[in-house]
Amino acid sequence: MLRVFCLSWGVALLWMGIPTALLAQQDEDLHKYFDDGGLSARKNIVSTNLLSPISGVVGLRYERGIGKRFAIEVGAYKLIPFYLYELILPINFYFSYFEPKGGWGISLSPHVYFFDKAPEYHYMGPRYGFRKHSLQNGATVAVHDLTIDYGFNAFLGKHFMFCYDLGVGYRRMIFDGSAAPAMSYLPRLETHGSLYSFLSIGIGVMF
Amino acid sequence: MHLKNILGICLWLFVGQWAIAQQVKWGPIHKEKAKVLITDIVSHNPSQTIVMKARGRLGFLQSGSQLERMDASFNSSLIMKLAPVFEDNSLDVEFCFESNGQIYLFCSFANHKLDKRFLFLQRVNATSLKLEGPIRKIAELSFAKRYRQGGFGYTFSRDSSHVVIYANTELRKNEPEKYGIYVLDQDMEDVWSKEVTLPYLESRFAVEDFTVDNDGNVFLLGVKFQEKGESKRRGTPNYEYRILGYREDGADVEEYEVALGGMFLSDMKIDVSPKRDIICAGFYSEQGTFSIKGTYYIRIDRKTKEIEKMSAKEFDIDFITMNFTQRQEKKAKRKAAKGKNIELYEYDLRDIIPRADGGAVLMAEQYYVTVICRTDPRTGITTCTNYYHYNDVIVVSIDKSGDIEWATKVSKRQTSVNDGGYYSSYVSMVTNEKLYLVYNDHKKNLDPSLKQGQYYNFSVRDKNGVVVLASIDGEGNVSRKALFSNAEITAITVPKLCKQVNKKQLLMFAKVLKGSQFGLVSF
Repeated sequence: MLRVFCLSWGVALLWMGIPTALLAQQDEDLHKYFDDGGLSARKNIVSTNLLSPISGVVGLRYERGIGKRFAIEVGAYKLIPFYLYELILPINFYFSYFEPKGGWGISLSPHVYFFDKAPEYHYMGPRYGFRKHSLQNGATVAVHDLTIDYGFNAFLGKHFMFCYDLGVGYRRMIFDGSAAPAMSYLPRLETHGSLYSFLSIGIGVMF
Repeated sequence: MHLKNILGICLWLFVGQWAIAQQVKWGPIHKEKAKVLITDIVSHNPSQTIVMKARGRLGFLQSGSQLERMDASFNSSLIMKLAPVFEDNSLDVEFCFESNGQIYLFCSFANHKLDKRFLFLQRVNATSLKLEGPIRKIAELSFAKRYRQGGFGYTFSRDSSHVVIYANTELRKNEPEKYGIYVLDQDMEDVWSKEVTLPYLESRFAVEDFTVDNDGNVFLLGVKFQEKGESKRRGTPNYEYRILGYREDGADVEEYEVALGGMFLSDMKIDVSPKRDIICAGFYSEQGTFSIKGTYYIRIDRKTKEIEKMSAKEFDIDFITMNFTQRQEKKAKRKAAKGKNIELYEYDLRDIIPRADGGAVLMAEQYYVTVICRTDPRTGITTCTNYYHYNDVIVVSIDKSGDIEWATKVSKRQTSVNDGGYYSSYVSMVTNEKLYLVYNDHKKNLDPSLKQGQYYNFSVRDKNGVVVLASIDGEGNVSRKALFSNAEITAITVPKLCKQVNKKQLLMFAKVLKGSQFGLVSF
């Protein structure tokens, strides 16, 4: 009786196991084609803008793909005392009076990708950047940039990527000289708005 | 003349006109976003039509593929997004077709660890348009660079009993040329496959065309470039054509070198005749690769595997100057009289249609792109405009013995700006009696009182656009008439996306800015 019971359970388990085994076998066969160590599923990019040190900014950007067509990019920057005058206005005006000492900056940029391959290929999106320059004599300049960007991320090989980003928009600067000694030729607080354009050429890593 | 005879002629004229009249039946306009494009007509039968659509511009990376089913009146009845996945891995849609009553979707996955691209197949339920059944690997190719991953193509045999998948491997320039051939039967079961490595470098060989016969034998047409110098076809010929045959499940391999005396073969296509012989035809030149002096035909016997027939015919001066203005004609004839070489320029071989008797019909279209750049002196900004020219079509008939029977020209002028010629070119329709070409044209071009060589350009922007039906009979006589006006349907026909769906019907596709329209022309 025990043998019959064991045999029937054995047959039942075998029957239950066969389809699962077959399915597992099929999946196993296909897995070898899809197993690329996560390379095709890479959604993260850490990059740096190679041009920004020219204007006294060094930093890193992190971009994370969300779904097939969206990504969000955040950046953190350290402002260095070195600078060249910018081509388009008017931060030069303040720098000509006060040497910059340093500062910090952040950026936030959601990207909408043209194809279902985020964060690869072409994208567009708004970009907000904030920089706070510390000047000599305790004055500060806060810079707000709001641009519409077009960019392209090219994945090179297995780990590295190249990117470029163009943006046009509006820049608003707030000069705060309240902590600085009073000067006749500068107000204590001044705001200034202008058109702004942005170009970034960068390299990065993907993971 | 007796009244009886007059009545008889009138009746013949009436019945004759009625009998050859083409009926056009249009469906409603489907509203959709401007960037949604039809990429293929997947299936058509009297009760329904299934098409594939995608977002994006033609020629660029496309995404968001979807299948749409329409009823017999072309009313949309179902739209299904295609998002093939295997576990968490998204697959790219490659192509979709119907075989033996079943729709199959082919999609690919690039494995960047192995540097290989795999082609998979999945069945599509014709009722729900959903993907069903297991995913099956069909083909694979290797690639060396992420942005040059090669590609897959397919073609059916004449009786649709076999389909060949061609996998174009893109390797480094100094590596041997490699490709894969995968022959499937009509139920997509593997028949045979072969990985081919040629003794030519990747940069020195290019496959231009491929075909499969009813027995599953595969033939490829390749261009072998000279070992040194440019590997692009421009100006002076630096290449030769090779035909590679794979018979007996790929075990029996033949290579044919195609040459025509001292002539340059400027274009060639291959196909399999109903008698199962390989036929190659194209154009040759004395000057270079941009011009054509005549046409040639080569037939390779199925049994002996030898070149059985090779013939060539030079276009005469009357044919070359056909549709020229009187001034152009005089100038060309004067040059010819002085013994100078006169050829036709910028013709692309579009199609080769094998005839039931072993002959073939060749079609070539004059196609070229001109780019005009202007620099604004105030800003220094240079703007370039691309003009896409699709002009006359040459039709050449080759008889069963392989001799050139007749050649004719169908005149048309289509020039468009920065659109890739989306509304230009033509679609051909073959019936038992005639060959038809359907294309967009300016309505004034149908006026018989037009001067010789005078043509009005078709423009998508004006309301003079008509869809013209050019009929070519068995003797090479061409007659043209307006099939319908684009203004009648408030959309513009896209000939490149129209398709002959059976022996008597042509599926028409027309586009408006934010919509599309389908129709059926019955012959």
